[in-house]
Amino acid sequence: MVKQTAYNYDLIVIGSGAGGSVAASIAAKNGKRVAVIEAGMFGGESPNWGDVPIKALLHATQLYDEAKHGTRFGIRSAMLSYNYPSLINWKDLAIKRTGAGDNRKYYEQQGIDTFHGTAHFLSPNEISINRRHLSAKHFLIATGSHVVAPDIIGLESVKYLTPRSVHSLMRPPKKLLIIGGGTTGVELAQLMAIYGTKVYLVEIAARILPQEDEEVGVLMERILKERKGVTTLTQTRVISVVKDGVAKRVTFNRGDIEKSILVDEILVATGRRPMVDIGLENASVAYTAQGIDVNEYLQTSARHIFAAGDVLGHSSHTHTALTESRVAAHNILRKEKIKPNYSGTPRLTFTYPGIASVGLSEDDAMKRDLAINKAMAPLNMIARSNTSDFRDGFCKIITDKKGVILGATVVAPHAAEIIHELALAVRHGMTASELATTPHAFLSWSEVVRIAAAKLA
Amino acid sequence: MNTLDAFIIIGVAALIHASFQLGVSVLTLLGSHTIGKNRSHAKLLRLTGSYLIGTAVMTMLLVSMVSLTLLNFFPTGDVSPLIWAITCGLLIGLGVAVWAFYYRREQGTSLWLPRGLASYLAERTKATHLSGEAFGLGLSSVIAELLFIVGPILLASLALVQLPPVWQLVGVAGYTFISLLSLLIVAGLIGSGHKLSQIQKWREDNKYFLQFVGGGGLMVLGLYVYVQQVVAAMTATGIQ
Amino acid sequence: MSDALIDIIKREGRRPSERFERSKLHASVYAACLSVQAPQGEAQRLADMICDIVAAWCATKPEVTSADLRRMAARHLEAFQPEAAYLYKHHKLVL
Repeated sequence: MVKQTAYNYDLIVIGSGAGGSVAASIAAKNGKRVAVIEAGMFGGESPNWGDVPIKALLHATQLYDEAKHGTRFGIRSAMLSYNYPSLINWKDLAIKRTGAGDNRKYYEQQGIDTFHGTAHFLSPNEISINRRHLSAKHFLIATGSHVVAPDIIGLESVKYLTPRSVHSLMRPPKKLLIIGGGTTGVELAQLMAIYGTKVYLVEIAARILPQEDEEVGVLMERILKERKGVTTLTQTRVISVVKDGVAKRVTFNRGDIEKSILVDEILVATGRRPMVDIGLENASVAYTAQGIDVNEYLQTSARHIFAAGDVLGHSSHTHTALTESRVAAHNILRKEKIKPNYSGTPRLTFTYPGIASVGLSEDDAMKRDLAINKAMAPLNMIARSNTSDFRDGFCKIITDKKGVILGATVVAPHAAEIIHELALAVRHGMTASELATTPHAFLSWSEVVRIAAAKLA
Repeated sequence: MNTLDAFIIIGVAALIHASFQLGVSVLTLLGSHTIGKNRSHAKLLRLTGSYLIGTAVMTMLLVSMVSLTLLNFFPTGDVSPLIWAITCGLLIGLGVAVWAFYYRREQGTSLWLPRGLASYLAERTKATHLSGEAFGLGLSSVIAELLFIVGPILLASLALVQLPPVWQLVGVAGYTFISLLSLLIVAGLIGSGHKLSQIQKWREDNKYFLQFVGGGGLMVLGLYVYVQQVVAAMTATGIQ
Repeated sequence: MSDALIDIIKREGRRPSERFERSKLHASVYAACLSVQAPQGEAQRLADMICDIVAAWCATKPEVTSADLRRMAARHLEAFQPEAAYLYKHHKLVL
């Protein structure tokens, strides 16, 4: 047992991603002795393999795609092409410029000790890292999550791609099968389709993007099919994978019919599991395979140990992890504890058109038996859809019977920006009438919000 | 106190003694280690048999010793109400203690024993290869449980000294046999090939029931004897 | 055999570390399987399998505790022999 007065650090943060970085910085600025431990690349998933690289590539490829289809605007694009290695260089530049990728020096400049290796709890106040033992008064677990491969016969014996490893390909594959029609799967499907890859998107649920409202999945499926040539296989289960020469034969079951296709690569984007294999039992931290159990102050069952980010298992957004990291830091440093406020947290999918939602979805409201009003405004009702020549999308708003906005979904270009006024509305209990009577700039995409809100006012 | 009353008290005290689980835990561990080392069935029977004999011998010795001590102070068997009252108080206190902390608040059937003693007993059980060692283990397990079995043994001894000498021997034998019932059952199950995991699972699933019964039994017995011996005596002598 | 160092926490605070010994783990899993009347061949096979799984897990960690080893072994044994896994897990919780 480590004596109370002999701790190496006041706070050890396990994981240098969004869930841990903010807390480490705040604690260091408050004069605490802080250490950050990272098993992979400093900065975590988001800047190194997740949000930043994918969005950087999506931006570049979207430009290319728009230009390719610019004939109707008078743009000649017959000779237009892309250089894949240059795209990857651009992606690497974007990562480097955020400063958050591989940012070990960033911590060291703040006086935070950094350790590279896998942490493992030995006792409630002690961890082992590279056979070195470190003790601390408090811990923040922000180990994030990892992709879980589904139980498919033969999958382990063929080399499959993950959202992390897909960027290390020398060139885009000719044919790609993506297992998992969630946010990541759909984003990567669009990206790879723009490269020219023939994409098959397999989803076990009845529609892609099953966590969004039905209209979103239906619309995106049509867009992916018509504009990108993506073949969507919903209600489909992959049964087995075998090597067939240099290619891979995938057998799947759809509607009780078994079929197989030959693809060059398989990308698994089925879901993530929190990384909880760090000896939590030795620290008496309660957890399940779905994540670490915490109270409303992000404290685990061991009161001096906190947890934030993907490891909690309820959200995989960087902005949520950042919020939780801030809250955890506050609760570690101060006696009066605060709770993270999740209301108005947007959920984003960076496709084109983008998808953004906040608050309750219609499915959520139905499950809770809430009496709601809903209204939908298609994109073709606003002037911007004409000038940009893009009409596929909508804004859907859900209110309670008093008109208070409970949730909203936007499918449109720049949906990630449009959603924030709706996030504000949800967080502060605004009514549809208040939103409808707020001026929205003409020829902005946000006009669709005003029109949807006006239907409920 | 008539003979029947005395035997009822001895029998109930012995049953409460049988409900305590330390001996059963040690026996389960002994069986687990013996079977796990792929020893012969005959060896298993020898070891468990020796363990039972050791437990029986120590129980008998303890009961006899306490009875003999009491006979020195009360040669005619006429025990003062004060002694009865103290014994009943001890029983009720032990009953509360059983309810409070007989089992540790964790999984399994971890008992109240200090962890050092528990580890020691576990290590000794693991190292038991010979019948003599098993016999010694039986002796030790009774000593280890002394904190809780002192109540039933004291009460049974007080009842024993009321009996004529021949019945006293019967009483001692009867107490010993009844107090060994749970061990005999478990030994029988192990010897007949029942899975230890099932035995242990049953014990874990029903530990709180056994705890309730043990503690409740002690309290009820203490109250019964108090009313029978102390209150009745006070009423008889007219003291209020 | 894994290179993992097993850190054994002693109550007195002394912490001697020792290398992962497959034979020790094998013996304890084998004994647990036998104690629930599993046939010897099956007990041997299960013990081999569990040792392989635990050794592979240990290879991902420079240092673990003996409690971690026990938990890992019990978790994987449960899929094949739940009764042996029960006894194995609760071995230190009998007394």
